[in-house]
Amino acid sequence: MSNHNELIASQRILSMLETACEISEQIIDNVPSVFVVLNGKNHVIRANKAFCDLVGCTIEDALHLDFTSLFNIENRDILLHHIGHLRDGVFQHTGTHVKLEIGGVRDDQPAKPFSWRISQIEHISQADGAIISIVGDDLSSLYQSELKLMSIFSSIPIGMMVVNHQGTIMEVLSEYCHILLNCPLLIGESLKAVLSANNDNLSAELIQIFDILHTCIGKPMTSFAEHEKFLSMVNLIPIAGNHQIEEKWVKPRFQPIVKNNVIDRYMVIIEDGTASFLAQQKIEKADLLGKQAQALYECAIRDPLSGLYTRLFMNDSIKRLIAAANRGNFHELTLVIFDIDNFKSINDVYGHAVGDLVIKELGRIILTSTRDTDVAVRYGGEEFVLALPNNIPDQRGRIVAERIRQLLENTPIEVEDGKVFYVTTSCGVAYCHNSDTLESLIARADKYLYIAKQSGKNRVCVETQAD
Amino acid sequence: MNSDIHSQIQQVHKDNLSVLLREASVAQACQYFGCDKVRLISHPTTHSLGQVVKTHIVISLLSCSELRIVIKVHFNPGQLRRYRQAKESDDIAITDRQLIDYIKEFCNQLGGKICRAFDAHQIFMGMSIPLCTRGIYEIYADYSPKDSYMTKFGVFWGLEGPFETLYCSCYVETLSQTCLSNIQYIGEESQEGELDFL
Repeated sequence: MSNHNELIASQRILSMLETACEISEQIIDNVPSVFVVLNGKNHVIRANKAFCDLVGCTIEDALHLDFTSLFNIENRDILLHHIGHLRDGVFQHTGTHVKLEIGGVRDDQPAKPFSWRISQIEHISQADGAIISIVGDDLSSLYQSELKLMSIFSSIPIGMMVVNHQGTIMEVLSEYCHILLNCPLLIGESLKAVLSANNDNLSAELIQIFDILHTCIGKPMTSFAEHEKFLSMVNLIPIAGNHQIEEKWVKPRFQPIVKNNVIDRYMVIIEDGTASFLAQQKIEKADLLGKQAQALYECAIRDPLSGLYTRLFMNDSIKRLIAAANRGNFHELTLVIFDIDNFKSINDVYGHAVGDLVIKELGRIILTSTRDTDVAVRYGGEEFVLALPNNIPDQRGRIVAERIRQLLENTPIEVEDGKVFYVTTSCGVAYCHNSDTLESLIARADKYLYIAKQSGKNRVCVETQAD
Repeated sequence: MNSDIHSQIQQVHKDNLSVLLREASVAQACQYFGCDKVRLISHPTTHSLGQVVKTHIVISLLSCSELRIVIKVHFNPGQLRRYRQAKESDDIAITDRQLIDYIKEFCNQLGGKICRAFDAHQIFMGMSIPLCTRGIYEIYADYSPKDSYMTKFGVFWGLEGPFETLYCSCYVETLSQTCLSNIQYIGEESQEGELDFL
């Protein structure tokens, strides 16, 4: 009875092992990767469903199928070469497996890119020879993603490429590179040569950049970091245009690609700086035009001899001051008219050049004696007008006029042979009233100038409350 | 007895046993599959002993103190499905499990027939339950022949019939030369006929 029970138990455990084995086999049958085992003649002796789906047969039909016949001649040779090496133990130093990325099954079917991992099973069958297993993964979706990514790369207006230690372009990741660098063929070209074409004045900078890049190859990232600041300050590089592509300005940036902890290659990102370059050019041009316009305006409103404003400017500026005074923006506005005494005689005796010298000297004295808020104008030939806004009722107009008169009186005017003479000026001072206009204010100041002239010249005659 | 004569006798014994195994399988196949058109392929040309020839194998072990015989039946479930489907209504879906059980029973009956053949020579063997596994595991089978203290040898043949081709392989190990002497297959009366597992 005991033997019988042992027999039953043994049978049960065998059945369980059989079931376990079958479950394992079904798992292999259903794994999404292609799985095949080949005998020494490269015939299939085990295949899973993914393989059968790929080939379009049943698991039974797959048995004894020549695996290599599923590939085109070129790929078959590659496969046989690697399988042969694996069986001969050529790869033993790297392990008992080899990875391959070859496409497709059969010439009459659309080629599918596959990653194959070929491993040697250590056991050698007496009848079937050296056994190898092959696992294949369909890379179609990966390739599609890569293509999608490449199309994105191509569409973004940035050039991306990989250069080797010699600066030779190894890989062009973005089609835009060709447009940016105006070069239909880039792979195999020297990036330095492409960038420095037609840019003799930039070659020194480019030589330095590529020297740095070359020096950092084979070194850790820290050596590159030392030069990162310099490399980031590379100027925009002009790329000559042609009848199809306009001239461009590009800026290259360099990113090391590290392999085994040292710099192996560089990823070069080329930015199109054309828009910012042209914008900068426009800004500079506009700035120049602005300065030229300002200079022209200055010419129009400033008398070149005295350095004071002209009547053109006086009309607007003093009218604005009168309006502001009428609004009570400041306490008083004083208008002073200067007239150089005996100016006609000076011209007659010393000549117009000396007359001009006198005008220039009085202009200088007026400018040095007044504030930025005051408006000094050459009103006529030897007449000057000075408008002085003031917040304090301290008769500053009269004081300034007197100071200018005295300064001129004491300023020697040099003529030929070291001779000097002195000139004087008469001044009329009027205060702005509420009803005043530019004309009425000038007229009143002129009235006091006339009084000053009549009173013997070289004096200041000021409007009083009684007037 | 010199060694040449001894080996010749041994070869005769092995050949006799091989014939027994082959003839027993033909007889059992005729009986099990209910037909008399089973052709024995004694030496298949397309495959050889130890090769992976089909997707599945059913294994059974016959054993006594002096003799061990591993019987393997190599088959594809698909070939049996076609055979069975021709006999059944198309509406009945035959599962792989049923087909495997079908061949297991064939292997079981074949083992029984071989046991009975040995019974006639006073060699009483026990038999394991038949187990099924995938054909790939044939790569691990060891059919190395040996003619020393123990005699070991393999036998491989095919059976062709309405079920297409089944392959059988056996590995015989014996400790006694005497148990192989005068061994021959003696035909039996047909017994219960074809079993229906479906």
